[in-house]
Amino acid sequence: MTLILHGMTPIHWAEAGAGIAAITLALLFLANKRLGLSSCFEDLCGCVLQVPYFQRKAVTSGRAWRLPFVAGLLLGGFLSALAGGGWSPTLALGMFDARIGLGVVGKLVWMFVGGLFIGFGTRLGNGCTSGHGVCGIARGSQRSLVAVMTFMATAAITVALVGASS
Amino acid sequence: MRLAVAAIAGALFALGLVISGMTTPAKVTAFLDVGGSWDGSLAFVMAAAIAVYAPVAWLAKQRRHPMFDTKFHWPAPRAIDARLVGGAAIFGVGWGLSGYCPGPAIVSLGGGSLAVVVFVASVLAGIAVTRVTTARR
Repeated sequence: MTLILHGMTPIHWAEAGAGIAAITLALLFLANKRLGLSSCFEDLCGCVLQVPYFQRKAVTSGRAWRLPFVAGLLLGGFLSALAGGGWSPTLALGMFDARIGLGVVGKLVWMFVGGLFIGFGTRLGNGCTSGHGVCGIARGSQRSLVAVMTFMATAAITVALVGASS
Repeated sequence: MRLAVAAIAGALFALGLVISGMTTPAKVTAFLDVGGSWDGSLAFVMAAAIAVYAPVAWLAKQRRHPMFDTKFHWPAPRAIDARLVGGAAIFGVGWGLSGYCPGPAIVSLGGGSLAVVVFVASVLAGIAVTRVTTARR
């Protein structure tokens, strides 16, 4: 096992995780909101699709805080980029440029397929890395533990099959 | 006011994801590359997040109701079924393929990775397809 920590100690990564949990807890305690990112996506869907499913109370009742939360995510990404050396929008895809030698269209198709799997899987399994991985496991949900072990395993197998970035 | 709180929480959450490396697909796939040159740093992120959340969740469960509400809103317990495992398995494949999960993708979009808009759109499409086809309430 090689720890590629970019020269940083495990404490750096642990601090980031602690921060993520603190925000999630703050939302739970201050506003009684259970944070799940795939549910935020579902909410965005409901804004466009007038299908009865997306107009249920369980989806729309969270809209008042989920939509501003998503806006905050965008803002946070923007500010992080600013802080990290300036915001320069790009069409480059980082690792995908090296990993998939298919040109721009190929990369976009690759990402589109990956996204479809994620959209389909999170709604079937009722959660993703935030809902199952942090909230679910921390409150001792066996369902979440099974979900996390399953998606970690299939993700690792997928990476082993298609090859990692480096 | 409530809008501002939610937005600030989102911005701080985004910061956590950026610092942790979750918004860098190369970092994520290196973490998933167990058989290759494994980069285990994201395990510290998850372990720390759970270590902070779990004791508070445990303490909360010792109470009959939350401090500012008459009852808890925990998700209703449900069985571990094929739907859960299948969904998680499919999500894992997507995560391994793209190196993005839903939250970090939105953050990356804000950070200027414009191509991620394709990914976000396809996640939305995947959700829409699931919900319209499975038609479960």
